Amino acid sequence: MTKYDKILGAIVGAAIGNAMGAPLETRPPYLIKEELGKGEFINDYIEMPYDSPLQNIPLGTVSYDFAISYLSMVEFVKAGGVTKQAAINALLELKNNRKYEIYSSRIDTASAVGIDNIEGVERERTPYDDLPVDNRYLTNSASAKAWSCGLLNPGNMKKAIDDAILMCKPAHDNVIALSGATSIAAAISVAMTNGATISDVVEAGIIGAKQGYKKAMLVAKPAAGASIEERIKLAVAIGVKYSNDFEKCIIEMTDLIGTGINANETVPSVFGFFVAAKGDVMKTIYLAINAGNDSDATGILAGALSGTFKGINNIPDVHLPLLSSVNDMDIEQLAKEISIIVE
Amino acid sequence: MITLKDKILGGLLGASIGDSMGAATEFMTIEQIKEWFGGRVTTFVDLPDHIWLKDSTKGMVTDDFSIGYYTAKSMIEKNKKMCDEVALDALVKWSSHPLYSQCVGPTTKLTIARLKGEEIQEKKERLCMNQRVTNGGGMKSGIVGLFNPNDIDGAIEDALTMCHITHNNTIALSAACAIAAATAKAFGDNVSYLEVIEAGIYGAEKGFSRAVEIGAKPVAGGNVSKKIALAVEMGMRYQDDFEGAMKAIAKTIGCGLYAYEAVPAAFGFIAACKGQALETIHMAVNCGDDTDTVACMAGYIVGAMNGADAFPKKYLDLINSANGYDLEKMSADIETMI
Repeated sequence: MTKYDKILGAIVGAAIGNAMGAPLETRPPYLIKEELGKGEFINDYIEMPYDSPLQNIPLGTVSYDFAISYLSMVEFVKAGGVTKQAAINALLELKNNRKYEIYSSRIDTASAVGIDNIEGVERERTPYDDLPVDNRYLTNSASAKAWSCGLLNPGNMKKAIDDAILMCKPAHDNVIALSGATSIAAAISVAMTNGATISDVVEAGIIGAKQGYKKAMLVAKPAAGASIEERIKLAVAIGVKYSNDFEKCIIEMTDLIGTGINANETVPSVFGFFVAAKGDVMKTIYLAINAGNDSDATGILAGALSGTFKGINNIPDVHLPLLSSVNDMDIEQLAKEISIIVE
Repeated sequence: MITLKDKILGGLLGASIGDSMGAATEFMTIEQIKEWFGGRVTTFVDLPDHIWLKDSTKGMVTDDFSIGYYTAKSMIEKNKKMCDEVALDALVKWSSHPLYSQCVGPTTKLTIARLKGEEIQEKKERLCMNQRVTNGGGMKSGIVGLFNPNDIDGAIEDALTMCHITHNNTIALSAACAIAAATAKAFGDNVSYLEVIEAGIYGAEKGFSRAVEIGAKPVAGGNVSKKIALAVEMGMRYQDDFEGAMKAIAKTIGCGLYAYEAVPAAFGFIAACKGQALETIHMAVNCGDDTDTVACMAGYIVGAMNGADAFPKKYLDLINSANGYDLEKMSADIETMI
């Protein structure tokens, strides 16, 4: 498999997971099945439910997480690799270009605070700002864009980890959010190499979480919260145990690990789903999105990880043209440009 | 045999001691706590400068225990069992206290504003408000366990009544019922920590299905009863290894604001410490993140199980004087009511 096949697989997989997951966001699995799927789990793009702030948007519309990933990669291509400035440019472009209003209106608090800091906008200070620790923004929106650092560093886990910290620290200045970002970046960096096995990818995710935490401790604010490394181990055990039972896998994963906005839920669960689906792209995505809660973030990570591992040929042809046109993004061109940098 | 009054006082003491000791360590990581205090915190210490509770002194409790205390007070004053009127009265009085109003959480704040008839900009909400799956129900529901000795189902119903006005979602209520049920079970003669944990798991399951029946909102999040079982499994594996148990539970279960972290963690610590009162509280105080809440919840349970004698007498004096309480009188009043 060429690097291009893997890169395109990752980006298309990420977009599918993100766009399919967005309408399922906030709900638990049983409500997705009963209410949205009329008794079946979801395996396609569906309309936004009645309580979503976004209504009447075309099927296949991605959310903030994919938009910021896409814009970041465009900037990385311009810069010839991952730089802090490129990551910042992408955040500012998304926030200030009216073209991206649909995403910037739904930006998560951690990223919004990060952008304000970058732009020098004063926020009202709260006592939490003076704590020696920050447990408020352990969110997965760092991980949900840091997968790109894996694509740009095929086989180079160490650089993928360093780049993920570089990319994400401006908006996620805490060790747990960063540990999630380095975990996914490391796993994808290994998944980019031919011959990598599922266990190679998972082990890279565990090492990435551990080393990223250590490195982040030197540069970012500490945070108290569950360990991504430890939870990946449990999530993978759940994935192995229920690999032949779609529904039980989802229930057990959401019951014990979770798929909420914190990185220490979403990131471990994605590894569990990846293992349960044996890396198959659509299967990994279906598990992730039907787990609900922060399903567009779980979806993007599931698609990026399995898409890198299996490549574009494991993804049905219909998605690439649909997602490119609905979202007005030249995904193929981006994949070509990234592959030129890494070849 | 431990008398009923001693068990009630034990519950009040365990919760207030846990909350007060944990106030100093709240938010920090396990490692930071050790570094900051030069080792494990096993007694009442001064609050670090970054904790913003104004005029707080050693031995003072925070929002966690005080809301339970105010609820008991309302019940005693009105001589009424748990009902909406009591729960609301306690909530309003508690929230106007200058110290506790500093630490009222967002979910409770909104409810109180609504109760007081203040104008609120009602935002259009999602069906599932998952950020409200907090431990604010569990932190106060231990108190109704003290009013329902040995009556697990009664404690569950009271916990639902008490907590649905602020935490009306299935998972937060499930967690609140786990703490209430375990506290009620702790009153049994010769009861062991294992039966108390079993009651907690029963409470989480029954509480969840009862919450659905009374119309609590659906939410996405962890499963409290399954996570209690997992936390307990980890606690049992590390019995007699304080550090190992604390770290394993904190790293995998988590001790954060979410009800499906803090409440299971409390049960895991009880299992790890074989239900010993002070040791369980110490583990919760040092586990990092939402330490005061975990310690308060665990404190209700192990305090009621072991009775007031499990704590040094000077702790009672300190809690009473620092907070202007008379916990012995409150215990006698609760005993009279039940």
